[in-house]
Amino acid sequence: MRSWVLPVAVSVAALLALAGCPNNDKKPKPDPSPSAATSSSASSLTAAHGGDAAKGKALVEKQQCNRCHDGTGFEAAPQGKHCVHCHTDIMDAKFGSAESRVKWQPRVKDIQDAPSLEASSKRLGKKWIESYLLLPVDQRPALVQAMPRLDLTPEQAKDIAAYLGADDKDEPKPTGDVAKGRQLLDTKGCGTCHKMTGVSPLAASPVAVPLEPKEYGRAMRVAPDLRFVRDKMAPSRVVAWLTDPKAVKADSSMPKIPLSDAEVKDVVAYLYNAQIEAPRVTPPPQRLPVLTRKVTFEEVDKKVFHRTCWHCHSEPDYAIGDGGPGNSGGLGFKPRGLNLSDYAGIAAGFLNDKGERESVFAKDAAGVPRMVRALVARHAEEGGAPTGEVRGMPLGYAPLSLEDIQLVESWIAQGRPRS
Amino acid sequence: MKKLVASFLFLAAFAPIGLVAGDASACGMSVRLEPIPERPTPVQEIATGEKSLDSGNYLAAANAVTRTFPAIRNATAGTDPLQTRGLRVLAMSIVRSDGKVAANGQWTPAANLEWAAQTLREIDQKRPNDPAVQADLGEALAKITRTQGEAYKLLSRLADKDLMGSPHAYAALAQLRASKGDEQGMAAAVKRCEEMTKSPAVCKVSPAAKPAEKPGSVAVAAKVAML
Ligand code: HEC
Ligand code: HEC
Ligand code: HEC
Ligand code: HEC
Repeated sequence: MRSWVLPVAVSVAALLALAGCPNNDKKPKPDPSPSAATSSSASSLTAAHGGDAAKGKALVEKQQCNRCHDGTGFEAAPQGKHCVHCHTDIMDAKFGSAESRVKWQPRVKDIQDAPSLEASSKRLGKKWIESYLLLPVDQRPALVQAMPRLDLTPEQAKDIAAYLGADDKDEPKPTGDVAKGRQLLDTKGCGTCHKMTGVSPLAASPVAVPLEPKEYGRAMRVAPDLRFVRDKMAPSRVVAWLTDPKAVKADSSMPKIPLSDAEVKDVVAYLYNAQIEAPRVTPPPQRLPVLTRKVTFEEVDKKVFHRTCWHCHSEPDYAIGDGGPGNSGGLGFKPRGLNLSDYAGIAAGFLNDKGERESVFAKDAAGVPRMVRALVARHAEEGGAPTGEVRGMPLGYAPLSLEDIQLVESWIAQGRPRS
Repeated sequence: MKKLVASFLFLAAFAPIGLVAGDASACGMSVRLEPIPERPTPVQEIATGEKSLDSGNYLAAANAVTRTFPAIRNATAGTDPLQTRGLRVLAMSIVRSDGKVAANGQWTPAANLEWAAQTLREIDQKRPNDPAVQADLGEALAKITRTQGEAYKLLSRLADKDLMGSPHAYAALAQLRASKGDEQGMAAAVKRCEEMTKSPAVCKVSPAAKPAEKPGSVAVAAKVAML
């Protein structure tokens, strides 16, 4: 019930202002995958992979990938719905008052970027995309792992991969000089932007090409962890990439770094053949014991619900009808009707798959309330483990600290005291 | 129009963010705030009404609504979100004051309670499957003898599924259980009420209801009420 005044006032103003705006309807854009442009030309290629590119394209629209990614084949979502653009505008001082931005900027700093999917059909293998969509694992050390685990069947992931991805090719193992390749990675500036986990840390060396500071900042944030290159890209595609990134992907923020053909070959050999340590297995976190001191709703609301959850789980009547993806639906999720913006809303539970209301406090066989299960699942997702039926929360965002989960669990165990 | 609204909403969900007058305006994101007006806006009025309702100041809550929507008694739930919130605030102020708030010649407390229950039924129809609305409706139905059986069923079902976050609704359930002689059930509902409320006084079961009534007495009462 607390601060409804401003939000709604803002929304009403937003609506009015919109009336005079150019229309935001999605216009079709060129497909990121030329093979998907017509399903007939795609058919011979998709046969091997088995996905349906046309269905994949429809799914990309339905799942609203364009609320975060450029290069989806669809116009970017309108600003008021665009997760990345709105956060970027906050960082660029284009949205909100100076006073609010002081509070917001630290919160959105790590969620202001998503890689563009432009030309993914010239880069990312279909099989990899398919498995990544089903279980996204952290690709970019500088970003929060913000690619959400979407509501996709394996079949649908395959279709999207057929639309976006490059055909998987059987290529021989690269044969360049691995040691020289490593040396180049250490001296050509690669380590200034990239990490490669699983090998000894790359050295940060100067980059030989001038870059605008802003462009540099973005490049450093979205540079992928190079350990995954061998899973994501066929060797010949990495060669093309290193020779001229912008020729592959016009909007790439990786500059063209002068390398001879032989040097490219050596770098590729390292990326494919270097011994990589198995990923750190993060053991599933141990929940902390419930607190004995009293935990009130005010405390949990301030530290958790109104801080992190409300963003996607609000009350539609206070937000011109859209309670966010966790309430009214969005990003391909069906409406779950879960309102985490006030006490009564939280108590009112969510709509399960049968369309029946279910309490978020209901305990599973192990005695863990559904909400706590979702918070713990987010830790498991980040650790790379499949999490089963319960989706990790907060969706596509850093897990809550174990202390904050303990707070939620303690409040529930104490009978959810209001004050 | 509907489409326009739908494509926009998300902004609102984020807006909580306490924007101040003079904030940026841009097409697409389209946030432009008017200067803060001297008189409270309708939105502020209704929000104040909700706060008053929450803190037990039913008269102030009802006044905030009637000031904003003078013709609220004839409004239809679900046509406008703000007005629907207003309807709820007025209905719940009436219910929680036993029909006394906003009573005058035409609107006797009994007529008031009937209006409130009918209004909440309409809100419930417009927002099916929302336990928060159902809890309010159950609380209202419990105030009218004729509909106490329905209230009992509704509130029990919500409580059994642990979907009720309103202390007042738990208090109503406690009262209904007490009248059925279900001492244990009453105590359980009172306990939940006390855990959820800021003011434990709302959880008191009135002694009048405590002595277990015989079955059938509710039906008799209902007949009387319908005369
Ligand atoms: C209209 C602007 C806007 C849009 C659109 C938007 N956000 Fe945000 N987001 C914000 C603001 C402002 C904050 C900081 C809120 C705060 O500090 O209370 C934020 C914070 C967050 C946080 C961090 C919460 C925390 O715990 O720090 C997450 C996660 C997030 N947004 C996800 C999303 C996702 C996912 C979407 C798209 C589905 C989205 N946002 C769309 C404005 C927006
Ligand atoms: C809430 C924002 C959001 C939505 C919605 C979203 N993504 Fe992402 N996606 C991200 C972010 C952020 C990353 C980078 C994650 C990382 O590097 O760890 C990413 C990474 C990816 C990657 C890997 C790209 C690369 O170069 O490493 C693919 C492929 C991808 N997303 C596809 C999709 C598809 C397809 C959809 C829609 C079905 C989608 N995403 C919806 C935010 C989003
Ligand atoms: C200024 C920062 C910067 C430097 C320096 C840089 N890169 Fe990149 N690199 C990026 C960014 C950003 C991307 C992602 C590009 C995109 O998706 O638009 C990328 C992508 C890549 C990819 C594709 C990986 C994938 O998962 O999609 C490879 C391979 C790669 N870089 C190798 C290198 C090598 C080798 C060097 C040194 C010779 C290097 N990069 C130097 C920023 C940089
Ligand atoms: C970026 C948006 C977003 C944020 C932030 C978010 N959620 Fe969700 N939440 C969703 C979506 C979307 C669903 C529906 C998921 C589905 O249908 O599988 C959901 C569903 C849920 C569910 C119920 C469904 C289930 O299967 O268990 C719970 C509980 C939940 N969220 C709790 C939380 C909590 C607690 C937080 C804050 C710590 C939070 N969420 C933050 C988007 C979000």
